Amino acid sequence: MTLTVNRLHFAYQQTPILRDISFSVPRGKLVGIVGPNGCGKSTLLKLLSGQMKAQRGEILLKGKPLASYPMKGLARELAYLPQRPTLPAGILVEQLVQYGRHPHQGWFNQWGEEDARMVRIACERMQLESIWQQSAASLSGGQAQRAWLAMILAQDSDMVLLDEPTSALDIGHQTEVMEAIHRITAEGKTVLLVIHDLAMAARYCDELIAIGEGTIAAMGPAREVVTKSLIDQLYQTSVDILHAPGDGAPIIVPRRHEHGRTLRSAS
Amino acid sequence: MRTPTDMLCLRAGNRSLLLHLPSWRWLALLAMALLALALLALSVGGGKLGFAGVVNTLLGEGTRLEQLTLFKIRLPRILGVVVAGAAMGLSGCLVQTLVRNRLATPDMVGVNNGASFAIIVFSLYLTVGSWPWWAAPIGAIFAALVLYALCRKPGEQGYLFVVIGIGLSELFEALGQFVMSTQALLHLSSLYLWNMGSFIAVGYSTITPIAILLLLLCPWIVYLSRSLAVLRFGPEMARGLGVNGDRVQLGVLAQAILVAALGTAIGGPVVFIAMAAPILASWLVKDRVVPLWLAALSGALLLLASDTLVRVLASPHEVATGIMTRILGGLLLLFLLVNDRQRAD
Repeated sequence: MTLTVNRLHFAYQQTPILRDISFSVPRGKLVGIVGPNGCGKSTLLKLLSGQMKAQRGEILLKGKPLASYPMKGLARELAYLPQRPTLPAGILVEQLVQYGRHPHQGWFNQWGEEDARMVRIACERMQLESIWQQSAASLSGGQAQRAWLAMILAQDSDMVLLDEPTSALDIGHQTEVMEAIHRITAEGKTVLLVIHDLAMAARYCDELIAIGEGTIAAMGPAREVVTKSLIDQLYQTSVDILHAPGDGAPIIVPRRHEHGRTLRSAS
Repeated sequence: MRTPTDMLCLRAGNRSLLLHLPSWRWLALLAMALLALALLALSVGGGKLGFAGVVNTLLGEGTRLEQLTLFKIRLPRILGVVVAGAAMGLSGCLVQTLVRNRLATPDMVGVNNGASFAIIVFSLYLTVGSWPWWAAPIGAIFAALVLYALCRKPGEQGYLFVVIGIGLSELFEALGQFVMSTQALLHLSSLYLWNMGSFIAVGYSTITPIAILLLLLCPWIVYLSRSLAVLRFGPEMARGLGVNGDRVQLGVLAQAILVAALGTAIGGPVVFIAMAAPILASWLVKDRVVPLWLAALSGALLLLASDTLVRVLASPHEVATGIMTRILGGLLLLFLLVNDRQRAD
């Protein structure tokens, strides 16, 4: 197991956010974390990336507690892409990707064979050749996300955490980015991503972890987790689940509330 | 192996260093411009010592009077201006990069006024004779602590940081003027001029220790600059890349406060150099890198240009250099604000 989480508890100012979270992520899998707004999925990702510390429970990365890694050492094992990273004005796509090498570099070790090789691979895998010399601020949403993913890829860590990499993108760009993420797992990396779009999650992820009200509501192969009963309960609404004509992936269609009568149950 | 664009890779064994070529080209160009401007500045002013005379005196062939004019009056002033301008440009670039806001510079957020307030208090009440330049860091650190207490996360709340800082800046400026008003005007004229930003009375006894302290700070600034560049991605991304944002932020703020305070101690709280110099420097390198040293050189160049201009225009009277930077800087500030608003529309 690349990553193991045991009985994780996290509270923010006495308000419990996550309770009794346990799961493990096998190597080389694409695992999606889904759940309604405010269920604690982004918090979970922050705990897993070492941005915050849990009050109780343990996180093991390759069998060692997360807290035992030095900061730069952790960055070589685990890459984290926040939901809205800040883009410094003026930097080129090339520079952005090169910053992924930072954890491997030092003051007297600023550029080596391995840096050049990893940056070249990241450029090829994320198909950035044509925009390599463009200002990163000038890119479209999908291109920008591919550039950030290339940076993460250049970081050369076995584990990758992505916080809603497809939110705020149209379906074309969403597909572009999900395909790119899929290529990252094909490299043998383990990817854990928080994602809102259940259909995208079910189509691309190997496994899903559904979180509701701070606990794990369901976990397992993606197409088994996305069921009507779970979605109804998790999102407090009523949906129909259809299947895509192409590959049979589930498509979630929320029902319309009839005559103003809310379908949300009172409980 | 492909070297990053615009970079020169120096290699020795398994050690390597990347140099951003456009930055180094501009550094060389600005250094030459600064030297030329300094020669020009040495050649103007009262005392009938023109360019030829300056060159002769520098070569050791001047009369006693020429030597006195050059080495005791003009040179210390110009050196003081260059050191102060460089310090302001550097400190401005550090804070602008950290807070990710062009308006966030030590002179805008009250650090310089805190420094000058401390110098006013010490020179009026607590020291006799010598210039208490060393009080500047005390006042600057005090102002910064107040600012930090009111705005805990300068890296994440840039706008709040600037607005609170402007209020603090006004407060310290008014306090300084209040303290001065308690004394008879007779004793004050030079202090009053200094507080508006003037280099007329600068001597080697002030410049030398300040220059040495600034040089001692440089290795630390160089050391943190790589992490500072990564911190531009925000604290979360920086942590993901192995950079401790909190620690780097604290270190860079401390550097900026000390550098700004030492710069202020020479010729008073000269405003806007700290804002204009990094903007000029970033423009020269097209925003590709954090131009710390280019901002220092730009600061020296801008302040020397302002000071020389003021000397030529106001001659034979003496006008504070700070008034000239205020005019030029005020125009720049208006331009930036209007430009930003148009871009936002």
